[in-house]
Amino acid sequence: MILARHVSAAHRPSRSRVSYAESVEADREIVQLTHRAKSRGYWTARLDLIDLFDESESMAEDNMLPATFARARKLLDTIPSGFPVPEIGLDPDGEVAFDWIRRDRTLVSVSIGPQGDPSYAAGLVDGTAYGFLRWGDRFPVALTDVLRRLYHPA
Amino acid sequence: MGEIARFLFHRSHYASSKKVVKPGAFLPRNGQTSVFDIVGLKEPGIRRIGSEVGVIRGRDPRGRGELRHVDVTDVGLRFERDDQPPRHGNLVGWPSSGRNRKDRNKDLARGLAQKAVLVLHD
Repeated sequence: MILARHVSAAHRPSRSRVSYAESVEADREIVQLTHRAKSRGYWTARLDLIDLFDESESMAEDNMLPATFARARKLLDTIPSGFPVPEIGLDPDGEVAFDWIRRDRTLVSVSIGPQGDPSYAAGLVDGTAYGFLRWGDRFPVALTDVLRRLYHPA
Repeated sequence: MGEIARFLFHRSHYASSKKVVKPGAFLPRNGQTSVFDIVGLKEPGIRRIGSEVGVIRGRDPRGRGELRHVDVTDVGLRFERDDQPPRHGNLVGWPSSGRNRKDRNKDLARGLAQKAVLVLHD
């Protein structure tokens, strides 16, 4: 199945982001033409991230840096199977927010910027938590634990 | 019944399918979050304020998150009304320094998001 999304031509990248924006556009084409092992939710999130990168150009202080886009995509790509794909948002400081939200309003929110460890806050059935997530090449172990508490509370 | 409204201008700041405002919608900019006192106002009056803010922002709000004053104080923040423009104020008291500022801010915003009522403007 091919997923397609209309993108406003009004949100063109600035010159400083042109080359990266071109690669992002290439990424969009790949997403639109590829649908293999990942879920539909994953591809929707990938497109949401691309759209947000484009749109953030016109959102003044909310501007998403290319490095932030790349790191958010990397984190998205490593979400373990068994967990839903998060909703994608943009923080006022330009960081990308991944929000896992349940209908009972329990949630886990992770923010990722151009460098450093992602921050998170969780409101769970068994309490709240916040802090930073150690992140290397693999999905953060602490985030896996907190997502388990969100979706499989004791 | 909400007492404070945070107008939402971007679709990424709420999840309509789950009827929730996301934490990112409440995160501060320059140490404060812009909100409006909506006590005593009915829907048309609230939307009128939203439209006026929309003129400044260049687009109409898609909706708003409504909070009670107690929701704000419960997480350790304060509402400071400045009436610039009328009924405007800010949520203040966000951690302003320190290495853990972002995660602490996220925790407070998370607390507000879990209490907020999402009202979409059709």
